[in-house]
Amino acid sequence: MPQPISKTAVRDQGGTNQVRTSSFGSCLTIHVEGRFDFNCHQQFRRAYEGSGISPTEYIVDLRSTEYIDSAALGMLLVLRESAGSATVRITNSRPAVRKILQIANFNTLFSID
Amino acid sequence: MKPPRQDSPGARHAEPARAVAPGTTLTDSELDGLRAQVEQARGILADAVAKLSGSFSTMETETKVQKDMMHALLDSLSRDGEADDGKQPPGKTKINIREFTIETGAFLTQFTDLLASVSQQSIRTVYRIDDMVDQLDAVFSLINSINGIADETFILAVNASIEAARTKDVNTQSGHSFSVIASNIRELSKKTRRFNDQIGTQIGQARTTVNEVREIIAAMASRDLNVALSGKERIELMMKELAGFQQFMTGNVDRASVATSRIAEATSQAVTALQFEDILNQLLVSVRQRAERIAAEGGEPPTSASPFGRTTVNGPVQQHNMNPGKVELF
Repeated sequence: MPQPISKTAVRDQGGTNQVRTSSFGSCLTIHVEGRFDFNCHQQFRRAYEGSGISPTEYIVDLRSTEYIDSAALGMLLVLRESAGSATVRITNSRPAVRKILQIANFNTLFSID
Repeated sequence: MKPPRQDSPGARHAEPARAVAPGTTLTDSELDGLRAQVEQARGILADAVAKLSGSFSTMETETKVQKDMMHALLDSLSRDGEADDGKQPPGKTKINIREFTIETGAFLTQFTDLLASVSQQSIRTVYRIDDMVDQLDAVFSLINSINGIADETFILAVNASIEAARTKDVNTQSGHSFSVIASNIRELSKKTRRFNDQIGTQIGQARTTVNEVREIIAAMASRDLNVALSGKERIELMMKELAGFQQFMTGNVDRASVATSRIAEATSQAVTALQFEDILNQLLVSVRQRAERIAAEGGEPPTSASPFGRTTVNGPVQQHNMNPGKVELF
């Protein structure tokens, strides 16, 4: 089993959210912990722009995400735009978060599982 | 013999008949009484039938109105989106819950798309603002570099002044010139420092403004979706319930329409049944005629021991009940 080639964690000043990344080959996984809101926009952007690789797949792992707001939707859409032909998957979302993604019709834009 | 009763024509009508027993005859006064009672019965019958007829006729008319209303309601309820071919008369509103549901659904989709689109644009803008802040920070560090150069220039000028003072001891003229140049260099370094500070202040203000813009966009981008999206969900649920309500309404109006048709049918049968007036009328006339004949012939009925019996050979009516279709007028 391949080991993560990189692992970074940045905690913001408020301490309510944290974005971590891990990558396996050409797949970059972004973990968002706590509140996925406007406050983590810089961390979220750095997570994929500063990865130094060109992934063919992005996975946004929301298993530790408690809350998302419209800014999070915007960040996901900008990630999708920036990803170009690479696929973006949203995984492990909790029921409350998943409900928001579904009502916002994100299941037509991303693969959500 | 009792005098004719005015109030209850039904069973009492048999009394004149009972009075005619075999071997007796009708007196003139009895015959008159009989005639009067027969006429009274015919009058009451005609009156009652006329009223019943009127009631049934009203029922028939009103049932028809009701039926038309039911049909109109059913028509408007069951009309769906694709059946709308523009034949709707102008000015007439229609209940089209299905179309309403479809349009509301489309509107809600547009609403969420708009919400997502605004969020995306906001984040995109904020990322650009972050870039701009980075660029301003880069300018700041350049200004700091220039300040460093200015400081070094200043030190250089001070050193030059010291050297000029030394040179003055050897050669007064050239030492003086050197001193003036060193002084000019010191002034230039101070000027550079001043301009740099002014540029730094301006850029600091620009940074503040940019940060304010970022705050505004942050407020726009950070919307709690639970309110907006659960509103959407509630509306979708209401639309679903509305569609169910339409189905419920359609079903009930349909059943009511069937019931109205049955009422109309029953009313029609009742009107047919009212023909019993003719039959009874004929029977009553026959009763009177027979009584008159008995009076004229001295009491002996020519063919039957019971002239008012229902099975009289020459009776005007063979009818024993009011089943429709069996009415026979001889």
